[in-house]
Amino acid sequence: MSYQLYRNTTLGQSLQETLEELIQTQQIDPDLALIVLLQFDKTINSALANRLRTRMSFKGHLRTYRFCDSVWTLIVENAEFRETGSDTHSFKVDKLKVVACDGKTSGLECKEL
Amino acid sequence: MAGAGKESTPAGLYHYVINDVIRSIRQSFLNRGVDEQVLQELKSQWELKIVQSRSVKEFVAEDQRTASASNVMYPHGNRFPIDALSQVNNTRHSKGTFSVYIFTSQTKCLLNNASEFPSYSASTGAKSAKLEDDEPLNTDDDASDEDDIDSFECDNVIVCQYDKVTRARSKWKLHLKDGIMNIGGNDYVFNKASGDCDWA
Repeated sequence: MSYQLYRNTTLGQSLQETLEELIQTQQIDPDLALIVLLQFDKTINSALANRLRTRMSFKGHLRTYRFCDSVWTLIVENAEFRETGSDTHSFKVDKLKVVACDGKTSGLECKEL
Repeated sequence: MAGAGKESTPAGLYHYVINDVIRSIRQSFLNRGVDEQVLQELKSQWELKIVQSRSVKEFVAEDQRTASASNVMYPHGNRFPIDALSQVNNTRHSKGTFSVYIFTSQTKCLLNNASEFPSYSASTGAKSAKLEDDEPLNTDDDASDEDDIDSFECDNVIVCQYDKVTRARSKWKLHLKDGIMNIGGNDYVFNKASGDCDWA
């Protein structure tokens, strides 16, 4: 199963805007655009899992949270990030939203969710 | 091996994803008789929009035609409405819908400056003091209502998956993976992230 939540990132939104333009100028049809989006879901899910080594840690104050349909949404305030690795650098964020899907069901076995 | 290191940056990862998607969908385009040129247009426009978002500093479009767009400078590296950018460039991107990003930290800053404007407070000071005496208003109610509505609104976002979210008393531990973050208009990516949060 490939999550669609990465469509809501810089990379995903740029793709969606491009596809909308190509549909509007009738260079592709919506069916083909959907095929592209589904391929994007597949590629980004596997790329994040397999092609990255970056590790981060952060501390902060949990302001509010929500757990709905297996999705966590958390608001963290005064978060301090650290990238663990060779070139360690840190940065602070006054308010941060975390949207997280269940990492355990993203395997090959597609559960009815 | 050098390539594997490069993909630890958002720019490297994004180039990999774009190239992999374009490669994987080529056959679908061919099957439907869509011209190869449309596929290249998709790739170059996708790259151009990432450059215009200014979320990834090191990201340079592989297509050299987009070089002029990256020369447009905006203060603080923040994201600006993409349609506004198109007007500046006066290029072919006149159609489509676009997102507008407004950073609340800057808005607050502007509001603070406005309240410090001397003539404003001098002229209204006497009037507002008199009003408070006549009919005291409970402004605290309004403030808390707005706070509830806005509590899940945030410009800094992590989109990711969780391995575990655990709590012991007021200490929360978040074990996250496969994340893309947009913090202060800049993108970051991670394979694993752990968060320690206190709840009070």
